[in-house]
Amino acid sequence: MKGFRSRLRRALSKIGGTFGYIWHRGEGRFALIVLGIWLLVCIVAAFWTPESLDTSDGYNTWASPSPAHPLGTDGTGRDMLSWLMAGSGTELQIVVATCMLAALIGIVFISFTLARSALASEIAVVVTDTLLSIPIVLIALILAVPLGASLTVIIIACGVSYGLNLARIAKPQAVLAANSRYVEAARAAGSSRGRAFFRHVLPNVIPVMSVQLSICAGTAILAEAGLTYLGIGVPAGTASWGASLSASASFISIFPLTVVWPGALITIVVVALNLFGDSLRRAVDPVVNSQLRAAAEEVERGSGK
Amino acid sequence: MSLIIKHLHVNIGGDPGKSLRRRSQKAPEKKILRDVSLHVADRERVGLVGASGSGKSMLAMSVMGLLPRTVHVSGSAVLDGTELIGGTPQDLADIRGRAVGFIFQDPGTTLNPVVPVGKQIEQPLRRHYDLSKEDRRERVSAMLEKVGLGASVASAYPHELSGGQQQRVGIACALITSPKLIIADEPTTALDAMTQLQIVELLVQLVDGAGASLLFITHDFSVLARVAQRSYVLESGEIVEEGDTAGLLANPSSQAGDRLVTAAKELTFARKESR
Repeated sequence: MKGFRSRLRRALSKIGGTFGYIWHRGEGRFALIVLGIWLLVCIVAAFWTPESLDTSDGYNTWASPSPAHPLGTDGTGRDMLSWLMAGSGTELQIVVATCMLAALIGIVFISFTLARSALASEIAVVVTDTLLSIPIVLIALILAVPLGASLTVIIIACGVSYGLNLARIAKPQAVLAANSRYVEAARAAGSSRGRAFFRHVLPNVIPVMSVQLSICAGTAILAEAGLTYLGIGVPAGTASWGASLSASASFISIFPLTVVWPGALITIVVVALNLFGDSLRRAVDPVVNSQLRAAAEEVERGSGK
Repeated sequence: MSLIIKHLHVNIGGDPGKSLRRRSQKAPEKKILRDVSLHVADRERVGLVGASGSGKSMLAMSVMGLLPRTVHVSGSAVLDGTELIGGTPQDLADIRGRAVGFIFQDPGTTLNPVVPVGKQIEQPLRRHYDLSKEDRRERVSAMLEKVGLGASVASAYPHELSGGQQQRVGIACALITSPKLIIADEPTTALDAMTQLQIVELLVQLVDGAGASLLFITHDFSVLARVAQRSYVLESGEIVEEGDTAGLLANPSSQAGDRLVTAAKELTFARKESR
C-alpha cells in the first residue's frame, strides 16, 4: 500500500511537472485552457444542458441569438448551445478512441518493421504503404456497409489510417533507436529484443508520437465533421459538432451563424489540440526540455570527471 | 570465471535469409575471424589488441551471440563449462549481463539519451534478478558511489554528464549484477588521456575487487600495459602473437605487434617533443 502511494505520488508529481512546463508557454497555456473548458463542458453536458435535446421549438427556427437561445436555433428549432454542448462529449469519445487505436496500430506496425525476420519487416512496410494509399473516406464507406452510420465507422477509419501514418512517420526514429549502440548495449546486458523495444526504442519514439497523436486528435474531429456531412459518420439524432455543421451547411449564405458556431468550435479545439501536442513533445523530450535537465541540477558535476 | 575460445571462425555475407528482395542481391562472403583461439583464466586480466578493422569487437559479439543471423559463427567458446557457440538465444540472454558484463567504446552513444542513467543501470538487475524496487534503487546508489559518482546522478540524463562520467555509468551498468567476466570493448577510446587513466584505474580496481576476469579489447598499447597481465595481438582476423603484456611491449615478435608498439612509442615521443 505504501509502495503504491509513493508510486502514485511520483506519477502525479511527474504529470504535474509536465503540465506545469506546458502552462508556462503561451501556446501551451492557450491549449490547456481550451481543452480544460472542453472537458468541463463534456462533464456538465453529461448531466445538464440548457434545453433538453428532445425539445424543438417549431415557431423559432433559424432564430438569432437571444437570452432564451444564447447561440440561436437551427432549422428544426433546436437550441444550438445545448446541441453543441452535448456534441462535445461525442467528439471526446471519438478523439480518445481514435488516438488509442492509432497508437496501438502505430506501435504494432513499428514493431513489425523492426522485426528480426527480413520477410516480416518488408511485409509490414508494404502493407503500411499500400493501406496508406487508401483515403479515409473510402475506408469509412467500406466499413459503413456492414456497420451503418456510426461512431465505430469514424473511429476505425481514422484509427487505422492515422495509426499507419504514425507508423510511417515514427519509423525512421524507431529504426535509428533500434540500430543504436544503446540497444546493442541493452542486448549485451541480457535484454530480449522485445524488452529492448519497450525500454529503449519506444521512449525515443514517444516525442514524435505525441505530436502525431495530437494532430490525429484534431484531424479526427475534422474527419467526423466530413464523414457526418457525407452521411456515414454520426447517426441521425446523436449530437456532434459535425452533425450540427452538416445540418446547417447548405444554408450558410442565409443563416451563417448556425454554421459559424460549430465551425469556430471545431477550429479552436483542433488548433488547441495541435498546440498541446507540440508543447507536450517539448515537455517530454529531455533533450529539448531545459526544465527536465534542470531537475537534475543536484548532479554532482565535480565528481568523477 | 574462465573463458576458453577454440578455433573460432566468423564469416559474414552469403545467404541473406528469407526476403522479398531477389536472391541475386546476396553479398559476397567475407571472413572476419579465422581460427581464433584464446583463453581468459579465472581472475585474470587479458588484453586483445589490434588495429581498427582487425575483428576485435566481432570476437566479443560473436561469442555472446550478438551478431545478426547472416553472420556465421563456428568453433567453440566455453564459459565455465558452458558452450556458448550455438547456444539458444534464451540461454545466451540469461548469461549476458548476469555472468558476463559488457563495457562499450563510446559511452555517449551506448547510453539511451531519453532515459535517466539510474534507470539504465537498474535494467540488468530487473532483467536477471527478482528484487524489490527499493532494493534495486539501493544497489544502483551503491554502484554509483562505487564508480565515483554521487547517488544523485541517478536522475540525470546522459547528455548532462561529461564523457568520463558517462563511461563511469557504463561501467556501473556492466558491474551492477556482479558478473564474473567483464568484456571491455575499447572503453577508453573516446576519452582524453587523463580520463583514460582514471577509467582504467577504476576498472582494474573494481574487477580485482570483485574477483572477476577481464577481457580488455583495445588498439592502444599504452592503456593495455596498465590493464592486462597477458595479451593477444589480432591482425586481419587472426591471432598473430600472444604473451605477457610487458614482454609484448618490450619485444613484439609479430609485424602487427611491432607496428602497434612503434606507433604508440612514436606518438608518445611526438607528444613529449611538442611540449
